[in-house]
Amino acid sequence: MHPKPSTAAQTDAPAELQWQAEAGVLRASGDWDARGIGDLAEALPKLLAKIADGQSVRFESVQLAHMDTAGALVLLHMQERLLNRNIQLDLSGLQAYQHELIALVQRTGDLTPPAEPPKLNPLESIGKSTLDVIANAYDTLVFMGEVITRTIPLLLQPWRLRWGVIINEIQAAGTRSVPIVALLTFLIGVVIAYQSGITMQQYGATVFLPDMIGIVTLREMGPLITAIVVAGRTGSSYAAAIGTMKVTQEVDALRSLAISPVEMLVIPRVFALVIALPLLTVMAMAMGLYGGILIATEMYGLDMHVALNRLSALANSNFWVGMIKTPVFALAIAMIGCHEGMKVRGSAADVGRSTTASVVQAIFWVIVIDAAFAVLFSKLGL
Amino acid sequence: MNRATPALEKRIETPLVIEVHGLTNRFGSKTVHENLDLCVAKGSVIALVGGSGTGKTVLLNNLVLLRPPTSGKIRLLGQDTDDLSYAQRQALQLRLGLMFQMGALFTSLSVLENVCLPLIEHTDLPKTVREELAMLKIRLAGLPADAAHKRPNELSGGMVKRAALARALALDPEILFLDEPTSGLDPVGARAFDALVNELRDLLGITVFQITHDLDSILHGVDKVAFLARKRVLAYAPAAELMQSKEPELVEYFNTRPLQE
Repeated sequence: MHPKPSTAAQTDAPAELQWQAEAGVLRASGDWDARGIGDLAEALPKLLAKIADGQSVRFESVQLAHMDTAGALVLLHMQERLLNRNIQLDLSGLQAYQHELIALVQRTGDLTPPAEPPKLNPLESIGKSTLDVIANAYDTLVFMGEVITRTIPLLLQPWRLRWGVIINEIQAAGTRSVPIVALLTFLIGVVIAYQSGITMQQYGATVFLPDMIGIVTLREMGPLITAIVVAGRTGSSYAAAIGTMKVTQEVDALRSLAISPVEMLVIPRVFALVIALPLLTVMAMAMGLYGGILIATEMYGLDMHVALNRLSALANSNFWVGMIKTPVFALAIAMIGCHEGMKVRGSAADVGRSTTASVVQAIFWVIVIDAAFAVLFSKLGL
Repeated sequence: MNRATPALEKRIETPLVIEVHGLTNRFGSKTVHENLDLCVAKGSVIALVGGSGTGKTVLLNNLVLLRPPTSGKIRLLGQDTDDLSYAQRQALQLRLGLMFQMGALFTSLSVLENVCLPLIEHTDLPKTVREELAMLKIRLAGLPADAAHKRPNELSGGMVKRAALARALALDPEILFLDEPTSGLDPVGARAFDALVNELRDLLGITVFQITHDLDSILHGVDKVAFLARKRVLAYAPAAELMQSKEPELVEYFNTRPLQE
C-alpha cells in the first residue's frame, strides 16, 4: 500500500546500458520505460554479444531512474538471452518495486501473441469472393423486395406515409442542391453552345445552335448532370447516415420498437428523391438552355426571337424523353445509398467504404440506365 | 480487495497528482460546476460519485484535457494545465490513461492492434517487444490470449471493458481515469474488475480516478469517494464516513439502495 517511487524520478533521458568487461558489470542508466527504451531494445543483441559465454554478470542499476513494465520486459528478455548462453545475470541490485514489476511480467506467463488466424489461399479467396458476389446479389434482391412490398400498401394509403420526414428530405436533397446544380448546368450549357458554335459557324449553320443546345440539354445533359450531382451529394449522405445508425445500433433499436427500418429510413428517402430529382432536373434544363441561348445570341449573333422559336419547335418531345428517366435515376440513387448504409456491419471503416461504394455504384447505374434508355428510345424512334 | 483507508491518512507527505481549484463549467446559461475543489494523492483509488446530470463526465473530460473548463485551475502531476504548449500537453497526456464508458475501441482494429497503437505512435520499441508488451496489458486486464486478434464487434460487453482497460494501460500511465468501468458487468465480473484495478495500483503504483455508480465498488473497491452535488465536491472522504453523513443528498444517495451488508 506504499506509494511506488516508480514514476517520481523521471529524467527524460533514454535508457542506456554499458558493458564493463573488467568488472563484469552491466551498468544501466536513464529511463527504462516504454518511451525511453526503444533504441536500447533495438541494440540489445549486439551489446550482449560482447559478453563472453559462461561468466556471471552483475546488473548495476544505481543510475537507473525509472522503470515500467516495458523496462521490466526488456530486462527479462536480456536475462533469458544471457541464460541461453550460460551467463548468469545477477539482478539483486534492483529496488523492491522493480523486482515486483519483473515478477508481475513473469507471472503473466507466455506473452507471444497467438498466431493470427490463417489468411486464405488464392483458391479460397476466389471462392470467397464468388460467394460474396452471390450473397451480395441475393442481399440486394431481398432489400429491393422488402422496399417494394412495404411501399405498395403505403401507396394505397398515402396518408400513412411519413410526410414530415419526406418533406425534410426533399428540403435536404432538393432545395439545398439548387445552387450547385443550377451553376453546373448553366456552365455546361455555355460550354456546349460555345464549342459547337465554333464548328457550326464555319458552315454558317449557327441558326441550328438552339436545336443542338435543346436536344443535348433536354435529352441528356440536364437529367444526367443533375443525377450525378445528386448521387454524389445525397446518395452518399444516405449511406453515411444510415451506416452510422447501424454502428450506433439505432437501426436495431428501431427493430426492437417494432418499427421497420425500411419504412422509417428507406421509403421516405426514396420518395423524397423521386419527387425532388425531377423538379431539380426541370430547373437544371432551364439553366442549361439559358446558358446555351445566352452564348448563341451574344457570341454568335443569333436573334433571340429566332432562337426561342426554334427551341419551341423541338422542345416538347425532347423534354419528356429527358424527364421520364429522372424518377428511375432517383430510385437507383436512393436505393443504392440506403442499401449501402444498411450493409454496414459495426465498424467506422465500414461506413467510409459504404459511402464510397454508394457514390461509385449510383453514378455507374445512372449511366447504365441512361444508356438503356437511349437504346430503348432509338428502337421506339423517339 | 478490502483496501482499508486509514493507512492513506498517515501519508501526509504523499505528493498530489490531481489538484483542482475553483473550477467552473458553464454551458450557455447552465452552470454545471462552480468553484469546485478537489485534490487526489498519488497512489490512491478515488471514486467520483453523484446523481445523473451532476457533471461527472464533464469533470473527467476536464481532467484528461479533452475539454477545458470555463474557468479554474487544474494541476496534473505537478504541472499547470492552462498554459501548456502543444508538445507539453501531448507529453502530459501520455502520462494519463483514459478508459471510456463504452470502450471507444477502434472498430477497424483488432484488440492487439488497439493496444499497440499508442505504442507504435509514441515509442520506438521493436515490433516483438511492442507486441509482447501489448499482450502483457491484455493479459493483465484479464482477457484470454485468444482475444488478441478479435475485432471489437466480436467481443462481449465485459471483454470490451477489459480491452479498453488494456489500451488505457498501454503506456503505463501514472493516473488512470475510468468512466463507469463496472457498469454493464455482472456482479462477479465487477468485483473481479475492482480487484484488478487495486492490484494494478499496487503493482504499478498508478493513481486511479473512476466514475462509478456501483455501490459495492464505492464501499469496498476505493480509498476515498468524491461526492458531486450542488455544483461542487460536497464531500470527499472514505465511503464509510459518507454513509454517516447527514447531508440530504448523501443520505438520499446511499440510503435509497438496498445494502447487502
